[in-house]
Amino acid sequence: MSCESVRFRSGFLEEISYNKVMFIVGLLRWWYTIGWSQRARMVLARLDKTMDFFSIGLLLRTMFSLFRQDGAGSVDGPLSIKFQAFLGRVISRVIGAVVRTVVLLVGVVTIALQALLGVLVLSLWAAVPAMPVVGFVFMVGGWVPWQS
Amino acid sequence: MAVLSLNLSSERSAKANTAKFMTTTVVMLLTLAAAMLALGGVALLFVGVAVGWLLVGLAAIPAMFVEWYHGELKSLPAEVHGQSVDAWLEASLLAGLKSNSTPKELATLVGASQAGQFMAIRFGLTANLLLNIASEDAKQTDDIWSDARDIQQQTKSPLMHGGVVAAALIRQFPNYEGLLAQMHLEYQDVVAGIKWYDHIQDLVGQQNKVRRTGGIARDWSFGYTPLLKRFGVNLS
Repeated sequence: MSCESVRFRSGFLEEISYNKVMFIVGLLRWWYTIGWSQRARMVLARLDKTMDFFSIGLLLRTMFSLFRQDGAGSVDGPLSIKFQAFLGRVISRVIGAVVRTVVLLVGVVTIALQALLGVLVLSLWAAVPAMPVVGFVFMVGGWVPWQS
Repeated sequence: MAVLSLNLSSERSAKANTAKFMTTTVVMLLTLAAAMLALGGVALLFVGVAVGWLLVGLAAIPAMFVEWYHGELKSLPAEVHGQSVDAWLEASLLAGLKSNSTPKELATLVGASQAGQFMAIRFGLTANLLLNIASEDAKQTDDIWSDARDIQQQTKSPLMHGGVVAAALIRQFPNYEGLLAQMHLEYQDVVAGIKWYDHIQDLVGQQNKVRRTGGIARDWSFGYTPLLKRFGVNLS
């Protein structure tokens, strides 16, 4: 093998190992900077979407409003008809308050669970690059959760 | 004209090369590998075999590549404080470049890029046309980079994409105005085409933004509007 060809091969190998290092460094740098913040934004966006869906603030503000505007029209006529319309509006408000309270409770629980899940996802994100090593250590340790 | 440097060993160039390798099939295979390893690992743990931990751990490697691809490599952004061509150039072009690439080789890459194809379909600036007008002198590539940077700054394009480089290739042709006139075009039309492409890319990016619609509480504070819902869109 000529001297030049050996030099070429050593340069080629150096380039490959340099690219490998750059590749791993690039991946890890992205993972702990942009990747993590992207994931955090995704978690927040999902939370925002859920909060918008349940619209807690609006539910509280409209808690005793007419449900779906049932009975909103003005009623003219004798007192009994007006009383009937008033009763209808009261029932609409009560139904609205009950439905809104149930949704409010479901919404608060869902948002809290989603926030907890988001914190878990972001914590796991940091641990993912170490998982192969952790997996190897656990394998060597021979520990299996439901057999201890 | 200032000569811009091009570093094909930069971190962004390495990322562009990685992105080129990560085709749809590769990404699908990596996703499948991650899922199989994770499921296989959990299954082994379920039957009491500790090797399952290693499989679950190894699943992280392909999963990380897939996340990296979707998070950065798929649409590699320009470096904010970059000062060389490799910091601004679109990944598909950057990955195809060799040291001392000729304008002709550049034209081939532009023709295959998404923005290049956009310019080909809308303005007739096809890969063949660019190949015919591009020189084979590698020294002229530096002038193309300078022109492309000017055009990128003029159009405020976030990247030096195929459309920008196509316009620079045309501008390098001595009688480019005459050439464009034969196609019933002016140079400003090409610049407008680049802005059009950027606008479409911007619209595509905006689709991912979360829209606040007011949720179910707003719906319940209104009356039933089935007919309106069928034909209208709520703008509030």
